[in-house]
Formats: sequence, structure tokens, C-alpha cells
Amino acid sequence: MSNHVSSAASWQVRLKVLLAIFVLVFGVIIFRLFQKQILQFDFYQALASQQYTTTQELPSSRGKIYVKDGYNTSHYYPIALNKPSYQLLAVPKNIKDPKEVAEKIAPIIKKDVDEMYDEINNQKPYIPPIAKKLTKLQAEEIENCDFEGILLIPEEWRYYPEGKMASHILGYVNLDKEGLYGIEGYWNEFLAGEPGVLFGERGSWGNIIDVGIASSPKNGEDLYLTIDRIIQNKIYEKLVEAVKKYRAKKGTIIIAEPDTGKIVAMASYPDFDPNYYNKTENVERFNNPAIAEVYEPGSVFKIVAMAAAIDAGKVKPETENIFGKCIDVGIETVCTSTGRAYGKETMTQVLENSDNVGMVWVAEQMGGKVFYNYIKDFGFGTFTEVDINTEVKGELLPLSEWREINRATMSFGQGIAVTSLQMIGAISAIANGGELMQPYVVEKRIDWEGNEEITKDKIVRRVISIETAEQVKEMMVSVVENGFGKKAKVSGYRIAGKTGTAEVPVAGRGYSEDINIISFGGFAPVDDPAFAMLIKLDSPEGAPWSSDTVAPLFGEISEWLLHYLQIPPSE
Amino acid sequence: MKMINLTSSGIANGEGDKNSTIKKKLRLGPISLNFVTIIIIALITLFYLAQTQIGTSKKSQIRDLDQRREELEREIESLEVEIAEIRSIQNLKKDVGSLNMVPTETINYLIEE
Repeated sequence: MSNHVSSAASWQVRLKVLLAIFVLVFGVIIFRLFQKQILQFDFYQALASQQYTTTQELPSSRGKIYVKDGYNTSHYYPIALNKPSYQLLAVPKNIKDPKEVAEKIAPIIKKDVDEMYDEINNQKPYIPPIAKKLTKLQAEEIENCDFEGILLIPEEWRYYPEGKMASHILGYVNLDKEGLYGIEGYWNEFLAGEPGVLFGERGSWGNIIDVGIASSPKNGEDLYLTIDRIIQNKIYEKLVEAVKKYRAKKGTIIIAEPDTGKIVAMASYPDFDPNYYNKTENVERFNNPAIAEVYEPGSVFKIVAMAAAIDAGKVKPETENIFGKCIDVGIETVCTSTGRAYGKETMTQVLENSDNVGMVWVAEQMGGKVFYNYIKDFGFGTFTEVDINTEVKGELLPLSEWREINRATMSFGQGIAVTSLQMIGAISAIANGGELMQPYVVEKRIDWEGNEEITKDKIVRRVISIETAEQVKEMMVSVVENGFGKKAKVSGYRIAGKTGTAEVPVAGRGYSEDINIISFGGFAPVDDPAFAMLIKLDSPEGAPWSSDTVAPLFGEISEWLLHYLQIPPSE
Repeated sequence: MKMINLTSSGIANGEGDKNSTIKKKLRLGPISLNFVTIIIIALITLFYLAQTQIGTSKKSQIRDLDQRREELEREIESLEVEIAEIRSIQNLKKDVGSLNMVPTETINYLIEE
């Protein structure tokens, strides 16, 4: 009996212990479940999501860039677009016979067989792409080989069908699909678009069982430029020819519409091919010299000083004075560039003869402050805010640092550094009746939904009065008709222009006697200017004069341009 | 052998013994109820799975069509590149060179009055 009782008691104890263990285990489980499902919910949800879903980026297509020409103004031609191609990838550990693969594929991708064999003869799971920019034909040939471990990935690369012709305007797109320099750099955000996201659900074996698009890719905006491809090509050809002919270090030509601010053509040389930008050794060549490099403009700047003095009421075109060969300015002496004393001259003749001494007198009549304000108003010393990357604002000494000699030298374009774009802006302002226009290159943008954004012409400010502009125009015509700019004349047309032969400053040694910068700026036809043009050659061999080199080139291009634009002669 | 006519009410017309009747009360016991419930759930599950499968299949078809569209877009882009190359100034210059054209010497303008 007592045994029976004792056995029952023992069973009760065991039951209680078991129950306690069970409660404890159950408690621990509940606690762990609470911990994982409530406290660490976000972490485990993300972990689970990673296991049963997968996402993939859907790349957006980069916007194209178009230009037009004068023969068919309603049609645009692509100047930058996306070329579909293929990338060849290899997973070496999955390749069964690397030798056979190399022997068959290397000739298709025009690669050395041994080199390719060395790349794939290992057990690596990943190696960098074996070849890029493969054509569809090459891709099909590779696909037909049907090798395990060889993959073809579709890709796009930026393609510029016109090659170098407008390289400085366009810039380029690097391997990371990032636009650099020029339009590609300035408008990169708009051109790039936004990639989309594709998600997929995985089954228990890791296979994709369902796919969906979380967000569709938004392609980049297409840009339509103010550039006329025929004019661009013409000035590019002429520039290359001139740089080679005069053995110049470099050169720039810009053509703009004075009444709108549109840049019609802009070329600089030496340049680069945006299709093969990586072959350009000197990275400085990517900068657009027309906006990223400054120079002392020399005598072309005299039209700015003269316009300022006339507008300020200090002189008139017919104002006369007697000028010598040299003039003392403080402790310095300024002389005429020809070493000749021009004697009695009107202001028009001062420009015709490009008389430095006469210009020093003109600047003196104005005074530093008035002159400085006009220089600023003409757009020098500030950014033009043109829609191309890497613009610089030039160098204009603050008025507080001006000495008498600064005022004097600036009157003939020395002691101030400007960009070619600023200079053509000032010339255009005179051609446009005194109003400075905002320069621009992109005239229209169309987004992926077809919405259009048209750039409106913008007047920056009125710099000089219409009357002053008309007077300066006539003075510039006189320079071409009677002065140093005679070789820029085009028969039957009234051309306005001004020569410029500037000395080049050498750090710590004043100005070089061996090198100069020659330029010619002007517009035509004078009565209703259709274009303004600036030609600049840096360091031509033998330091020739502008009047014998770029002035005839200006005339040659102007004649072609007037015919191309179908502008009838006025005389 | 006797012929009897059965009506919907299960009442026999004519003579003879009535051994059975159609009108029999259907009783659902707990087991039957469970069985029916399981069948209904199974059918709903099957229907859901079928719908999901159809949906997945449709999505897969859409994806295939999307891929086809992408391929066609790439074809179009390739053709656009070819057209751009053919119409480029650089290419036109080559063609013009072979045409032996000469520059215009005199230009006459017709001016509207």
C-alpha cells in the first residue's frame, strides 16, 4: 500500500516538473516569438523580403541632341544619340574549354586569342567585361557559338555622328553615363532621365515566379539646339584651315544672332572626338575655349570704349583732336601700334586707324568710373550664363584698384581678360541697337511625355542707346570701308567690323614681343544684322596683323554666310 | 412486373407497393459538414491558385511583350543611328566629292516688291 502511495506521489512530482519544464519552454518560445516578430519586425521583414523578392534597375535612355540647318528649317538632325551595342561578359569558372572559347570568340571581337585565353583561363566567378561596344552582327555570331559561361549584355553608348565638328559645344558622356563638359555636362540631369525599378518574386527554389514594374523608367529630355549644322561645319573647316595656314597655336570662331542671343555656330581648334574622348591625352582640350579661356582682346575692345564714351556724351563720331605717336600716362608711355603719329583725327578715324593714343584720350574724357560701369554693362567680368559647362567670367580689375594706366590700356583692350563669348556678346549688343541679349544654345527641350519647353529670348539690359549704337555701327562700317578692316569687305553688302591684334602678357615679364592674339569682330548686314561673328587666332607664327589674316577670313565667311542665309545685297 | 409512375412529390400513382420515396430529408452530420467545408475550401484554394497562375502567366506574357518591345526599340535606335550616319555632314561631304560639283560664281536674287 505504502509503495502504491509513494509511486502516486512520485508521479505527481514528475508531472509537476514536466509541467514546469513545459511552461518554461513555452515561455521561452513565446518570448522569442515576441522578440523576433514584434521587436525585430523590421529586420526580419527586410530579410524575408530579400529572400523572396528581387529587384532590378530598368535603365532610362539618355535624351538625344538635335541641330537643324538652313535648307530645311522644320527638320532636325541628331548630333548626339544612343547607339545600341553589346557587352561581352565571361564567367571563367563555368567555361568548360577556355582554349576553344578564346579561339572562336577572339577573332569575332578582334582581340588577340592568347590575351583572351589568359583572361578566361581561371576559376574566377567574375572578371571585367571582355569587350564593349559590340555590334549586333558580332553579338549574333557569339550567340551562335553557344558557349557556357559566355554572356552578352545589351548596352547603349553615346554616339556623335558628326565626330569632332561640334565637340566643344557638346562635351561627351563617360563610361559611367555621366555627361561632362559642354551641353552634355550642363544639361546632364535633364538628359539622363530617371531609371525605373523591376521587382520579381522568387519561388522556394530561387526561381522567379512573378515579375512586376515598381516604377517605369523616365527617359531623358531631347534637346534642340540653336546651332545650324551647315554653318557649324563651314566655320569648323575654315578655322582648321586658318590655324594650319598661319601655324597658330589655337583658334576660335563664334557666330551669333544679335537680336536673339542664339549661338548659331561655335568652333574651336584643336579639338577632340567625343566618340573617342578617352584617346585625348590633354584633358584641358575638353574645355570649350570660347567660354573657358580668357584673352586680352586688344583693339576689338576699342568699339566698347568708344560706344561708352559716345553714350556718356563725352565724344561724338565727328569729334576731332590731334594725336601724337605716344602719350604719357603717369609714369608709363602708350604709343600707337604702327609707331606712327596720326595727327588730327575724328573719333571715326581713331577707330579706322586703330589709334591707341586716340583711345587713351577718349577714356580720359570718360573717366574711370563711367568706363568701368559700361564695361560691366557690356557683360565683361561676369558670367554670361550661357547653357554650356565650364564658363569662366574673365578678369576685370575692381574699380577700387584702377590706376590711370589701367583706364588707359583698357581703352585699347589690354589689361582686361575676356572670353570670346563675352566679346561677341558686346559686338552683338551694338548690332542689336544697344540691347545685350542672353546667349543660349538650347532652344527647345522635349521630355519623355512630349511636353515642350521653349527657351525665350532674354534681354539682359540696355547698355547704350539706339542712337549711340547706330553711330558706332557706322563707325565700324567705316573701319571696313576705309580702315584696317578693308579686307573684310564683301561686295554689295555693308559690313561692320573691327580688327584686333593684342599682345600676350607673360607672367612677371610684361608683354611678349614674339606672340600675339589676332582677332576680328563684326556683323552684317549693318542695316538689319543677321549675324555677328568673332574670329580669333592665338599665337600665329610670325605674329602677323589681324588686318592681313583674320579680316580676309571674316570677309570670306561673311560672303558665304550672306548667300547661305539668302540675304540680297544692298548696294 | 408492375409499372409505377413516380412524380416529383414521390407519390406513386397506380397500384403496387411503395418501396421507396425520392423525397428524403437530407441530413448533414458533423462529419459530412467537415467534409463539405474541406471541399469548399479546397475549391476556393484551387480557384485562387488558378487565378494566381493565370495572373502570373499574363504578367509573364506582358513581360515577354515588353522584352519584344525593348528589342524593337533597340532595332529602331540602330536604324536611327544608321540614318544619322548617312545624313551626317561628314558622310555628305564624301558623296559631294565624287559628284565633281563646282562653286556658284554669280547669284541673282529675286526680290519681292
